[in-house]
Amino acid sequence: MNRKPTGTLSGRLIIYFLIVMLVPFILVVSYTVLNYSRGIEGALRGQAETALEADAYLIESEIQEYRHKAYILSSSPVIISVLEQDDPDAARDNIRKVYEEIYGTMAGDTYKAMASIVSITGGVRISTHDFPEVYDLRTHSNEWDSSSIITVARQRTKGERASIISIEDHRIEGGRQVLLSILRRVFSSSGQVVGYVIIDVMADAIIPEVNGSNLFADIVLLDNESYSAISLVHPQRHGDFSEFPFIRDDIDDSYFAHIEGTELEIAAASLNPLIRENLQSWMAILAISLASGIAISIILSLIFSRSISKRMRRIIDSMKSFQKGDFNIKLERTGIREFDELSVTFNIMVHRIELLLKKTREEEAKSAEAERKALESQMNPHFLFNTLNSIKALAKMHGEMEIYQTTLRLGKLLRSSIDNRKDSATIRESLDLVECYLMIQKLRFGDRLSYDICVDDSLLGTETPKLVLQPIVENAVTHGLEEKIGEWKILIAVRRNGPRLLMQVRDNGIGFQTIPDMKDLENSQHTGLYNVYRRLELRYGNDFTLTIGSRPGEGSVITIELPLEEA
Amino acid sequence: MRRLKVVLVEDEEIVLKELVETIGWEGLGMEVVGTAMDGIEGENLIRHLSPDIVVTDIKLPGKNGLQMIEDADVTNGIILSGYTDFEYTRRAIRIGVFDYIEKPVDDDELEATLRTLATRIIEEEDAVGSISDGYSIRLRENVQSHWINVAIEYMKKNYMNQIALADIARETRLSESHLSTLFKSETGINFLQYLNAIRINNALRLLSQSNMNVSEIARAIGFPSPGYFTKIFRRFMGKTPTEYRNELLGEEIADRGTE
Repeated sequence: MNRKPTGTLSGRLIIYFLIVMLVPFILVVSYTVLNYSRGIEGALRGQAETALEADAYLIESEIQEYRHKAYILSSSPVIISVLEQDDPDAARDNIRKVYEEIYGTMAGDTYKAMASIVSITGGVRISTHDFPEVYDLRTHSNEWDSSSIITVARQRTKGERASIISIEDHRIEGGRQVLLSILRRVFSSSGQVVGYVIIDVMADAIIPEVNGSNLFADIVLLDNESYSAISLVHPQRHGDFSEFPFIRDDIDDSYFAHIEGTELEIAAASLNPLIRENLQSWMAILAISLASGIAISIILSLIFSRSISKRMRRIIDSMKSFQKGDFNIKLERTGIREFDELSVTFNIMVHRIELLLKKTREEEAKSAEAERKALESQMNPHFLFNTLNSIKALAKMHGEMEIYQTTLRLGKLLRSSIDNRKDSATIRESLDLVECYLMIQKLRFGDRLSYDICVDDSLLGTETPKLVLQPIVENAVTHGLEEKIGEWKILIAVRRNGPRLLMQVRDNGIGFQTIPDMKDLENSQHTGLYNVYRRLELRYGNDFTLTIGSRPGEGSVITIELPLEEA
Repeated sequence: MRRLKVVLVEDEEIVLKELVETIGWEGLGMEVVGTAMDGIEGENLIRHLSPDIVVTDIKLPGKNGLQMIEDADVTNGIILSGYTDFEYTRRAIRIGVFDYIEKPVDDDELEATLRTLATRIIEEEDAVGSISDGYSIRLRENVQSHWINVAIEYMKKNYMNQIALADIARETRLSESHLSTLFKSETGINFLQYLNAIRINNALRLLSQSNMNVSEIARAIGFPSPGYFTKIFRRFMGKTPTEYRNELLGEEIADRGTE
């Protein structure tokens, strides 16, 4: 047998929530991990290396260009002669030529780079811009006074004719930072160093050209000889290698490209550590959101299932007590539409079942009643009436006229109720019957009961359905008067009301507690009244009225109005 | 005026006694000539005494009241019934029961009924007396009303069959009640008396001119039984058919004797 596992609502909900939560989480995590491990880093590395090499090449070509210009300037006869003379006045005479030489060589690059010429004594100082103070050799009392490239040059003795490239000079010149300097010694014809040509390349001339900066955390230009470095991304950052730890770090996270023809190198710090860090925090966020999601889903499931099961519990309890036979169950509104529908449906069902049961019970009661009546009717009417006849004869023989009269009246009453030979009676017959009834009641109650019959004599022969007045009078006596202390009065009136017949029975009894609706009379204690109503309805359809007027404690009036059937 | 003879049939002694003793028979111009306590005895009594009125219970030992009335050819019966159904009532009317009084019997009502019946009997006797002299019956014919003449013609043609007032009403297209009233005022007697008078006239003819016996004659003229024929005959002629025939024969003999 295949049995479905049963579980609580909250358990199921939690499982569903978790599935909903975990599926996207797992997807995201696995996507990230897969992607990362498969090669974000590898791809980045390749890309980074290429970009860095391109940058190295770019810087190299810039350096080559300025180096070439430095060479041209250093080998210019005008400049050599000026420096050779080392005479400021002579220089002033030749200054136009010198500037022509310098500007001609530098062409349009003076916004990128600054060319300076200084004689060995510092006597001659010419620059494309304001002459940099650091190159003023007059102020250099010893070799260590300046950290400029000239100092570097003086320290280096080998390869005198080669260009010296330095990145140590981090000075600001005219608001712009110097990135690197190229120095070339100027020799006299005799081979003596007579001065220096220096080209300072500005950082903002190179840096915008560097492409890879978006691929790296930092790009650094470094000098392996002097162990100094400057950031190409943030040129204000400079110093020795300790300033840029990544240069010495794990090779995986940094890239290097040598600049040909120099001792320079550019190094780049990979973004990988950042990415890794990002990934970690991303994972942490994911983990936190997962944890909080799980927590929230559990709480929500519990709250939801509790709210559901609370309502469900109420419905189940109601159904259980309904099962036990309590029909006063009525489910309240819960605020959830589906449950409200269930409640309404349940209430309707309960109501229907209740009605059905009630009906069944009533029918049982009715059939019991019918059975009783059937048993009753087995009492032979012949026997009944013959006995009454004997009593009457006996009474008359003994001169008991009250017994005689009462027996006759009782006989008439009984006969009228079981005689089915005709369904009409004249007003006279009806009133006779009413009197029979009232006379018998008077026998019981004496002078306490008084009655008056007021009838339009011309109506005595008028036919109406039989058993209309008498049951109403009987109803008045049984329900209106018998419970009342004091005098009982009944007034019966039969008169014309235009083309209609009006019959009225008035009593001073206790009145109706509530005026019953005619349709409900069947189920009330006023069965007699209901039978009258039915009889009239059978004969006249809607063309009659039976109205009940009542003042509790003071009495009631029952009025019947019918079409007048002239005899 | 003669006293009407009444026979009471009732199986309960106390009831019978009460009827005999407490009804004002004398005041009603009546006299209880006999009482019986079962149907057979009652029938014999009726045949023997020929009362004008029979007051009887329905449920009787031996024979029920209705059967007794039918068998004894009672014409003016009053039934005291315990509880009667519709079938009983219809049969009672057919066999000529005058009225029904339901038990417990209201003696005032019974007396009123008896009084009405007495009046009718006297009236009928007077009416019959006015058209019969003991030898022949004279009936008014060719009256003013065309429709009554039509009715009379119809009756003369069909008297040998069962004729009801309804048949004549259908023939004349008059309402039964109007026809009945008009008939009485035009002819002086009611429809049934007139019909019976026609039958008796024919009976007189057959008694004198044929050898048919009383039973044959009764059937031939439309009476349901010879007893009833005899009863009606006597009401009109003051003697039985047989007495009448004997008288005729006697006259013949006498005539022959005188010849």
